[in-house]
Order: sequence, then structure tokens, then C-alpha cells
Amino acid sequence: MLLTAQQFKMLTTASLETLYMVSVTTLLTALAGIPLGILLVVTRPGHIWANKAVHRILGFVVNVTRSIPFPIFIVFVIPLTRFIVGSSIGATAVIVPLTLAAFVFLARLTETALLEVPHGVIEAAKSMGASNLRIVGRVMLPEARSGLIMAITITIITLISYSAMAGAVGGGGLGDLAIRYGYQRYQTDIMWVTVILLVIVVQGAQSFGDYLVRKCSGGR
Amino acid sequence: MPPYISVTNLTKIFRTASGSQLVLNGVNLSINRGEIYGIIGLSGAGKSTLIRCLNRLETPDSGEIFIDGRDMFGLSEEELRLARMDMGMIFQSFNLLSSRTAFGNVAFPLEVRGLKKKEITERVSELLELVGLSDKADSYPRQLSGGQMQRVGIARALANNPKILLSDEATSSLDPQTTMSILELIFKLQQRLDLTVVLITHEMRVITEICDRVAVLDEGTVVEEGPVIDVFTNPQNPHTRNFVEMVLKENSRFLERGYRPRGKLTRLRYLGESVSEPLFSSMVKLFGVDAVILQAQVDHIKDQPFASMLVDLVGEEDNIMKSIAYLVSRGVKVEEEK
Repeated sequence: MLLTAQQFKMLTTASLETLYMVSVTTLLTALAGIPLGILLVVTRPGHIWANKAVHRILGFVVNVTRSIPFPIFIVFVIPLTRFIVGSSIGATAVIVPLTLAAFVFLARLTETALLEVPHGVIEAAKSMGASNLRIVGRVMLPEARSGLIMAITITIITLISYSAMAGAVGGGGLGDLAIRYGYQRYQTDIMWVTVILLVIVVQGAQSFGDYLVRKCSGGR
Repeated sequence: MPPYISVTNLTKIFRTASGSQLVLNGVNLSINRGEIYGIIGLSGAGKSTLIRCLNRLETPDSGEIFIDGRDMFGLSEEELRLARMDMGMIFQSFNLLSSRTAFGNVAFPLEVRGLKKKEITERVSELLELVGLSDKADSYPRQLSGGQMQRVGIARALANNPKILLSDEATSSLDPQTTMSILELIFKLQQRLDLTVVLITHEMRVITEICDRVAVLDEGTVVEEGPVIDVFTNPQNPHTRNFVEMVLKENSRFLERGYRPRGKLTRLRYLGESVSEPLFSSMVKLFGVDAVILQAQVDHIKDQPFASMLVDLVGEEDNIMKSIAYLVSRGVKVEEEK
């Protein structure tokens, strides 16, 4: 099975679009999601910045956001997308709903990873006179780094699959190509190639994540 | 002179959904500078909460704590952080950072204090040497044994030259032999660095090994308090007696298996110098009384030798009485056993 030059070009463009959406979104998601995950942990009762009200509000917002199915979410945030990007169509526009949906997901995963850090270790740091900021930056994050890398890996893989739905607003990408050509125009060959490409990308991301986890827990 | 650490009327209530529990019920303690003060109690007695109030990891509901004249509850956040640097703490589960080597763990409190990298490197090497782990600087906690991890914990606790060392069941997860080596280390460092040590434990062995004074905690109240030697040799409270029995195994298998005493069954306890005197052979020679030893134990409380034995004194009634009088005159505590 050989691809025509035009099909090849389409696949290249789609791959680049996916790469663009996923990489920019991952960056923004990490910048927003990890701090939110930290807040979800430290505001817990008995933790270093216990605050019931803040903890409940954050938890509620995260749950509400996570309960909206992604295709509906894209439409739901269109006004915000227009406000930020200036348009609600295209790969850049898709980054807004993608980031908003993914960062709360990453926040929950970050929360789980940070909760793995034994309370006694945090208490020991406290007994040495460490400030809360130092406890977060020098104790909790380094101690949870394997879990955090896994959390980010899972987020990237989720983003790759979410980005397939971006076609709904003209976002492009591999998933969109598979649906438009492979499904709607019966070009099965295109569909197969995109699926194989997606499998390779997801496998690659997972293997790289696993490698980093192994590397940072090496020697221990 | 007021005590170095004074705890007055400390009360703490744990409130949970299922109700509230009085964990500390008006605890009073006074601890002198340079002593090793032990607090013993069963799990749930409140001892962990009590020691954690001293560096304010726990906030009591009422009561006062003064350390070196400073009101621990009148401190600002910043003052509290500085005060904590003057108190090292070690833990039952060691609580080391798994992502750092032994070196990195000991460096942590020095980073908190804000020392320069070069100063940190020097000080850490010094501390690892002090606890005998110079060759393990690059090992991660997972590569160390329990005793080694606690040594790292001790080096870390002493990094900023604290005046007080708080020990929260530091030997409870270690085997008896390692427990002894850690206690020896704590004792050696306490002498060398002029530390005041407050330790909590549920093992009487720990108390008799290194403590100067002891408080027995039960259901959030101090039920007995005083110099270890007094509390150990003359326990007043039933809880204290239970703890003493943990170390002092005075029951005799011979009696339990139906030994019939031929003479007078007598319990002898003696302390200090008399342990090393040949009291027994003197007694046999002087009064012609034979002694069948049914149970005997020679031990020590901190640096004081201590012995306890159950003997069946066989001989003429008159001579037995003379023997007992002789033993009493040499400082032995004699009790007739039924």
C-alpha cells in the first residue's frame, strides 16, 4: 500500500498539528495543573496550609470541570476561547479547551502523587524549621517525582486522544484526519496509517515516561 | 532556678466525627538542663502528642510550655521556625527523604538555616563521622539498615547544634541489639554536646538504660515521676509496676513447676556497690546457711549495678535470721516471699 504525495502531505501536516496542540497544551497544563494539585493537597485538613473552605471550593471546581464530556466542553468554552485567541476555530483555538480540561485532570493526578509522600517526612521537615514553601519545593515535589512524571505521561496520552476531537472546531491533527478521510470518505488506508502513527506516538510517550521514572528512582 | 523545660497543665482534646477524646489531661513536667528525661506509656497514653507539643508540631487546647524561659505559645511563625532549629527531633520511622542520600538528608536542615554550600559539605562530613557513617554518605535510605537510617536521623537532628533532642520512639522499630547501639550513641552525644534529651518510649529497657528521670504517662496523666532508680526500685503505681516487670523478670520457673522450699524463701534486691561484693559466700562462711538460688538477675540502671534474686535459705532458724540481718546491714533489701 503506497500513499500518494497528497496523502503524505496531509499526514505530515496533521502530525505537526497534533504535535503542536499536544506540546503547547502539555506545557500550559503542567504550569496550571501542578500548582492546583499542590493546593489541593496542602489545604487538606491537618496539612501544612489547612483551609477547609479553599479545599472544598477547589475540589468542587475540579469535579465540575471533569464531569463535562470533552466535545461539549469545547462548545461550552467557545466564548472564552474567542476572548483569549480571537477565534474559536483552528489548532490554536483548540488549545484553550484542551488546557482547561486537562489541567484539572493533571491536578487530581498530582494530588494523588503528592499524597504518597509520608506525612512523617513532612513533619520531620517542619521540626527542622522548614517553611511551607520549602516543604513543597524541597520535600514534597522531589519525594513525589516518580509519581509526578507518571502523572504527566498519562496527561500527555490523554491529550493525544482528546486532540482527536479537536476536528469538531477545525483543529486538525491526526485524529481529525482519521475521522474525516478514514471514516467519512471511506479512505481506509489513511485511517490505518493515522491509527498506527497514534499508537507509535502514545507508545513513545509512555516508554519515555517509564524511562524517566526508572532513571530518577535508580540507585534507590 | 526555674526548670529548663516546664510544662504546665497541658490539655489536648482530639475531636473526630465519632466524638472527642481527652488525649492529655493536665500534664505537668519539669525537665532540667542536661538531663535525659524519659516519658513512658502504653500506646494511646498520649506521649507522642505530648512530645510533639514541645516543638509545637501539635497545638494543645490549654496549658503552658516554657523552654529556657521562652513561652512556646507566644512565638510568631518566624520565631517558631528559629526555635525549632534549636531542637532536633528523631522519629520511630526515621522520616528520611527517600530522594536524597545520607549526605543530602543531613544537609537538609543546614539548607534550611541558609548555610553556604562549602560550609554544608564540611558540616555534613563532620556529622556523619560523629554518628559513624562516613562511608555511607552516598547511600540512599533504601540501601541502609534501620540502625543506619536512625544514625542519619540523629546526624540530621543535631546538624544545627540544637540544645534539645526530642526522641519520638526512636528505637521502637529496631531490634534489641541495634536499640542498644542507638541508645549508646544518644548517651555519648548527650554527654559530649551537653544536650537535654526528652524521649518517649513504651520500653522500660530504654528508660533504665540511659534516662536520669522518668515520667509514667497513663490516659493523658502523669501517674508517677522521679529519678529512674527510685521509680524502678520502688514503683507506686500499678502501671509503673507493669513496666518494671517488663525488665525485671522475677517469676521463678522452679516455683511454678512445683519446687518445695526446704527453708525460708527470700527475695533479695541490691543496688550499687554491694552487687560486686561476695556477700553470699561471706554469709555461707559466717553463718553456715546454704542458699538455693531459684532465680537471679544482675543488671544495671543507667550506670548503677542492680541485682535481684530469689533464694531458698536452708539452715537453722537462728542462723537464717542472723544471715538476713547481715545482708540488711550491707544494704540489701530483703523480703520474705510467700
